Amino acid sequence: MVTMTSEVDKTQTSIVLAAKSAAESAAASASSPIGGEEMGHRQRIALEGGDNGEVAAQTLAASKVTSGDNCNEVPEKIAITTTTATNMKPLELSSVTISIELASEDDSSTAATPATAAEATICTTITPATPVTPTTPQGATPKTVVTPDVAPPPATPTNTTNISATTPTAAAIEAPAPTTAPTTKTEKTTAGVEAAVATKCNETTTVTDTTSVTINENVVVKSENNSKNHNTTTSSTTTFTAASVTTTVSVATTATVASGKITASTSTTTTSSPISSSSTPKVNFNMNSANSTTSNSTCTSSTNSTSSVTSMSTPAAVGGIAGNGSGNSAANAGLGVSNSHYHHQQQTQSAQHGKSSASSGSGGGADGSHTALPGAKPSLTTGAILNHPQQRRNEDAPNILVYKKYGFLANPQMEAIIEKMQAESTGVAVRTVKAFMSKVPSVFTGADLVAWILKNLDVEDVTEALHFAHLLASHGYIFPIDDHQLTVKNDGTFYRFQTPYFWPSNCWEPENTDYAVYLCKRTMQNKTRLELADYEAENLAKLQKMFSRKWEFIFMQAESQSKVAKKRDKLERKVLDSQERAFWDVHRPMPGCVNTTEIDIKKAYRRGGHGCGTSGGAVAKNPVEQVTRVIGLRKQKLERRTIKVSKAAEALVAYYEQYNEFDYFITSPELPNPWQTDSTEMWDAERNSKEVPLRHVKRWGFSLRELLNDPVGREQFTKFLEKEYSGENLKFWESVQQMKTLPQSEIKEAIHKIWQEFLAPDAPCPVNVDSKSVELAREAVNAVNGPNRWCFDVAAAHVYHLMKSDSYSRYLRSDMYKDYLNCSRKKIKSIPNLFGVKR
Amino acid sequence: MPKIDPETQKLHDEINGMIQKFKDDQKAKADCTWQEKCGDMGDVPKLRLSSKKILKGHINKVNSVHFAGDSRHCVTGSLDGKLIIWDTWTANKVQVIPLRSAWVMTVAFSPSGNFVACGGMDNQCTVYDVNNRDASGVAKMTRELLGYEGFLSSCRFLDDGHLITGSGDMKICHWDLEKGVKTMDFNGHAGDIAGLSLSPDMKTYITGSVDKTAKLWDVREDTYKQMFFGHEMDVNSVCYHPSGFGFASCSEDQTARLYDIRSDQQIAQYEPPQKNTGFTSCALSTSGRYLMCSGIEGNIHAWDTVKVSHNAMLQGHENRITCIGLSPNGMCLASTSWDQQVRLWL
Repeated sequence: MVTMTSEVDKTQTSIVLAAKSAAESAAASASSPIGGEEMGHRQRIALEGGDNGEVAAQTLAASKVTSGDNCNEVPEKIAITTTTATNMKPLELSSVTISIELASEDDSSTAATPATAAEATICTTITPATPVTPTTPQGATPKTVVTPDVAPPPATPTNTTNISATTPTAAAIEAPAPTTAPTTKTEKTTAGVEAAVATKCNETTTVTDTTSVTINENVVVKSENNSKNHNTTTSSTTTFTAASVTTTVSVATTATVASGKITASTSTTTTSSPISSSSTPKVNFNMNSANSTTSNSTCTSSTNSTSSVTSMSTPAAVGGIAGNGSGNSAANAGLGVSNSHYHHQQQTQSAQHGKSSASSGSGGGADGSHTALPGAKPSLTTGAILNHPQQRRNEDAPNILVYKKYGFLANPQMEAIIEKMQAESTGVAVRTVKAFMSKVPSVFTGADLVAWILKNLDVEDVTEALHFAHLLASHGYIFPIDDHQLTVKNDGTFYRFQTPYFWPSNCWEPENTDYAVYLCKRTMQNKTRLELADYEAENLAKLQKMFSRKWEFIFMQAESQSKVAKKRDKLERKVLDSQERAFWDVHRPMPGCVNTTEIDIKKAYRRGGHGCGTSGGAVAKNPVEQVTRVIGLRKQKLERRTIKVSKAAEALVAYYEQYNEFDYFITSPELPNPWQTDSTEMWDAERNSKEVPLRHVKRWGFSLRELLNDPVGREQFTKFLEKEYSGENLKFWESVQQMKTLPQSEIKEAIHKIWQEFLAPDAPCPVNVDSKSVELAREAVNAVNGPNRWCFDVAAAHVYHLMKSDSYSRYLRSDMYKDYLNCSRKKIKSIPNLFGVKR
Repeated sequence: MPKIDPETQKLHDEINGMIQKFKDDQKAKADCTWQEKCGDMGDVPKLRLSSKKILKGHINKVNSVHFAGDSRHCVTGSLDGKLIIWDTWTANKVQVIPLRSAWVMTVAFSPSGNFVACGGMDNQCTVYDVNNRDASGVAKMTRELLGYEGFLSSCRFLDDGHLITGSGDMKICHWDLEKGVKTMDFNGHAGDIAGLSLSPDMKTYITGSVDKTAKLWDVREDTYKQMFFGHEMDVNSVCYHPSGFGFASCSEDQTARLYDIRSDQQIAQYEPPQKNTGFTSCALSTSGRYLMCSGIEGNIHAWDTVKVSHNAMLQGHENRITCIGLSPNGMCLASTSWDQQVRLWL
């Protein structure tokens, strides 16, 4: 049991957070809803919570709105009871009730004190989920020990958030404070944890007003709450229409209403209604909380506030908007649990933003009122989107495609086969094996499985059957009882069926918190079979670091889960433990195992009915033309001369032999590796042309191409040629290469220039080219339809060959090159770390 | 299936006949196997790379990495909607470029290091000038290349002024960045183009596609020069051999292959020891001796190309590796993964 009380400055808010952990107190909660409707396709789960009658949606709709007279003295109470059945997580079946009470009470004493304008109390009672075994109505298999009868006690963790805002009312003024319309949507079982965390970082209504304020509120919370399938193809969209608030303010003083942000749990959508200073502001929020899993909850809250005050300093509103703004980017950010951190940052950022603006506006009075969610659950987003275009595009958003793709993954055929396998008489023989001192319940051997596949399915050989079995395992339908690696071997290894509740078709996208709870729980049981593997221990350590702020809650949850687990029958527990482990093996695979639960989005795009991306299309349009074209290309291919593989091999091997010295993966570099040593020698040496590394100089000797590719080498070679009075060769070759890269419009001129300079009979620096090439070039230059950029290719090739065979080899033998070689060798050796650590 | 008229049928037959001829031809040219030829070569040591540096900064899946010509800076693109330019040597961020769309699938650094290009599910390619920043210090967008009907899956700079892209609409596009116009645009494959690799001399390039083939192109032409078969599933990535005579490819079908351009066929096939992972990206070492492929299971596999033996497995990433890239000087291998990390292997 955790109770947190934080009383902020009286002027603003006092928040009382009461987080209770009492698994037993389920009944005590206002309503313990297990949303039958919510459960939707999750009907398989036996919720043994007999007393939870209410359907979440109904409860939501039944939000109680009590609105008293606006006159003074009459307190007004608005209670929003939001109940949402939470995702039936493997471990915790919980439902969360969040009731938010906005009570505007008359309080003369507070009214008298200008300081206390509003008091907001947030009361959160959290009953962490009690672990409940997910069981199929029929039991997973007749052979499984799990039967509905043994299903664990009703676990109805309750999460109640009470927010009471006390606003002093005064007679004369009809000044309803802009209101917070908190809409809360709970998404996850971990709500217990979440809510507590969220409340920690509450952001509450702040009404700083020297005069009295009357609030007239009408809060309608309508919710079509689509269960919580995170991975539903369309992403569950929850629409909240919250709070149509009519507000009238006729006060000349500052009315600061901090946008009320009440975040209660995992994917809570918070509506903040910042009051802007315009007389009739109409604020429409489209809150798009694209949380890391998949669900998008859209919360639309329209706030109509009429205020007769034109100049209201509303820094908080600004803050609210700022917060929303930065939330924007968070929304829709992507899929995968991965972006959790990001969201977290965003939230904190927005919080700070809001805080600063609030405090600056109301003269420091509003400090602390805007502590938005510093510890909010990282993996959730509460992003408010103001006219965000992204939202409209949502349907096309790539993540949707991934979920659609999920539909493919959860292969109904696969499941049909699994069901067949589990059939009583014709299925795979499942038995309880007696081992030393203990029993291994509900297992079958790999050999049995393979035999069954061979017998019952249209599978030819063992390899194929094994492959198929492996596929089943990799998707988590069957799993080895004591191995994290989801493979199947054709031997006596024992395997077990996964309970349908954990099948991938249920579109799991479990959160890191759930994983943390699971791992934490494992540490509590000192059974060898439950000992954490190395990678799991590592993960646990990481998660602990990540969730350090709410580790207490995770621990609490784990504790209560393990408590429940202990009450179970021993054999049953064994099965359940292993099934749970297998579930996490699928969703948090051991390093080195293929992750079958996430798909490459590129591929999803292609297969996900994305029209133009698929093949077919253009190809099918004109078959004859297409085919003819293909034939043309194939003919070309036939005509091409290809070399023999042996020659190709030789060439590649020769290449390797030549360059292995330069492959730093084979030969370690001669200069310190800059990535490892923090020394800049290598970079500096390369930058400074005077100290060309020996390797480079050596490389010049490989081929003319290598020499010319290196700018320093080219420079050296040019110098050498000049000495030999044959510099025009290189110049010609270079200008031809240069010309080829020019745009078409300049080609003609460039060609003419080259012709004049190097090839024409009276050229200033004639190149030594055979007459045949010159003749070819002349023809090309004077061609009827103009010269093209390849007209000197033959001549250039000739010159290149000349340089290669003549000048280049002479260069390699020359003192110039040798000097350079020796010199650079010396230099390299003599370079101390002259250049220090300069960037 | 629509009814095939005799003419088409005839053409199809002709094609099939030709394919047979190719096969015969290839067989004829395959006078020896790669292994036989290279069996007598000495073994190379086991690839001793370890992830010396982890570049931290992305907060979502990282999808792509590419080095600049200086071998020191690299750019990574992530689903968090950011491009980050790293100084790989210090592991510091040099620049963060926020994107308009978070769905970035591919990034490219120009060899000069002046520009970066990126694109993805926004069906466009965006080019940023790294050296030209606006008031807030963010690199200025210089070009938005529009007109794609599918996501951008690959892009590479020829130089500062020219860019080649491959996209999910099966098209290859050539862009003149100075003018901002498309200079060429043609259907490259019968499926999404997945990978693109420029030859060392920048005159040709190879594309890999989900139509299971790889094709060789001349940068000046819009018809392919050669087509390479063999893979049984999507070719996810291709990588030119540094010699320019061949290229490596890796595929979803759990193999990587080496093709030779001059002999016009596959000359070697590489498989992981346990056939348990498809490959997303490949790279060849400077000498072409090591082939490194990133697996969807989160390991980088390395083979000795010449001996066709599995050489090493580099472990470290915790989720699918999306892309690997070797620095031009061949010293540093960068990898990006769904685990949000960018690792440098040295």
